[in-house]
Amino acid sequence: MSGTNIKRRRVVYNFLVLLSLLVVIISFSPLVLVKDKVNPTLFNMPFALWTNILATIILVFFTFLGGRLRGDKGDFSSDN
Amino acid sequence: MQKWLLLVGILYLGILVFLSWYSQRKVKSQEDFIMAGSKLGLVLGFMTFSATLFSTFTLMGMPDFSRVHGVGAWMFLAFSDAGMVFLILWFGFLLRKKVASFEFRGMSSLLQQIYGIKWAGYLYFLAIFIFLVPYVAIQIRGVATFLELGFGNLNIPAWLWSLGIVAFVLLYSSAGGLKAIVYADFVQGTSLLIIVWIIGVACLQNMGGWTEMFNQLALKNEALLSTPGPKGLLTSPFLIGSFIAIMMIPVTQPQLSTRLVIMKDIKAMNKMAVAVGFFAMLVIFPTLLIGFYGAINYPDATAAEFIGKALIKDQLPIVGAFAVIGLFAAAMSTADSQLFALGNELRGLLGEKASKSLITIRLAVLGFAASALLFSLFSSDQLVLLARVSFAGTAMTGPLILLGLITNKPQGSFMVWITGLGIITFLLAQVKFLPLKVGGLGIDLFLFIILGLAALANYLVMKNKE
Repeated sequence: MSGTNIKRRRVVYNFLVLLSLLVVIISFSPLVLVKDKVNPTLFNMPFALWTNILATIILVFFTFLGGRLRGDKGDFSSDN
Repeated sequence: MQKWLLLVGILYLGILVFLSWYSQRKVKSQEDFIMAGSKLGLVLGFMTFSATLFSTFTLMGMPDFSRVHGVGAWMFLAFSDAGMVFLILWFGFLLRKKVASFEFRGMSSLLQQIYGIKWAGYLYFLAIFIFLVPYVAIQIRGVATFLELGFGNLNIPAWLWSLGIVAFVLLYSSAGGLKAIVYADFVQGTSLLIIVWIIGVACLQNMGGWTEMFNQLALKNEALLSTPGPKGLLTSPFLIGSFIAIMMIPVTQPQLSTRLVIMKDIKAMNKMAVAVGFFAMLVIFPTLLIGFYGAINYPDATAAEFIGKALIKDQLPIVGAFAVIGLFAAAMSTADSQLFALGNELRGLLGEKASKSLITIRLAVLGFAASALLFSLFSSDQLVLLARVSFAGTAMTGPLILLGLITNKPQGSFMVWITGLGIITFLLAQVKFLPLKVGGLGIDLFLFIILGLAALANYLVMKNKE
């Protein structure tokens, strides 16, 4: 794999890490953790539950993407 | 139900005995016994990691936690687990890279080699001993108390149930080593997942379905539907502290860091991380359903009463029998791995000669099992909160470990001493000798910040010295 490709993968991975941090920060912020806030609901789930399930799915999906970006050797150098 | 229990119990124990015998036959070397051959593929890897991670704490603790604190229980555990699997990509890579250049005889020994200071390893071992033995104990205690209540007609006291669990764990782990534990984890993890879903769905049906469940919860106590929950526990600082403590589990708890090392390769490890993330969601979701069932039907019951009713008495006899075996499985799958990992850590610290002998690890596992058994006689039944103390306590060593893995040169003794100070402070706060809160933050979160900053400062100072 070329050096440019490795660099590109690393940049995208770092961006993914930043996005994950953003998801974590938002999840713990008053935007999500609001006392007594039940609405809006989704499939009847209260706000705190569905937003957190969504955030969890996003983080696990980012883990999948991160693993692909890091490649077979984990150092961004190998193809998947 | 006892007829079913006998049948399912014999089947389950029979499978474990067979797996123990099968792995004993396959153990050809010390490496096979201690590190399961270090070639775990995706399926075995993720099942052993998951079964070790999800214990009685999940099957007994989480339903009770969501019964009392409501929907925020998801964020407390499932979201934190998602953060943990993301961290595995980076941490697992760092750890395996380091292990490639140093001999791996456990994290204590690795820290001694990296820091070039014996006390780095002793401190780590002391921390995991202080916080893991009680964790093993509360799980054994949880299941034993539950069995004592559930089978009062048999007149078997809790301590005898505890002894039975520990004896069986010792039997198969000392016969087949880590390989037997890994195979047993596969059976235990699968049982846990199936049982928790059967009971979760039964509870959901009992509540009248999905929509009705939320309607009833709102009628019972609307605070269950949002954070911080009815008791006001699940605040941002508490959840952030829990997130860091749980995320750090693979870094700081040897039974899980060893599992990252014994994966076949990085590719399998990364896939395993994703699979564990899915497994976490799949296991935790039905525990919430069971908890909501309890919040509606048994809001004022004690933890043991509620678990006894929700998992056994309200279920069909065959489901109740599987639930009892599931609890056994959950307790054993974590206890075996933790006891074995503690034994391995001690073996690593005892030096080259002891490392070459399997007797050392067998004796050490026996000693730790006896300590856990003793502790289980005195521990309380607050599974989740005690487990959280255990996670937070071991997490204090996180910055020390990460600093050692990131850098290629010895980092001096500063982090060793400040981590020791951090652990002492945390312990003194737990026994109420020091305050549990500092400036609105929990003592754990406060110490994580201090130790994290100390590790960063240590790194920058050492870098400038080069």
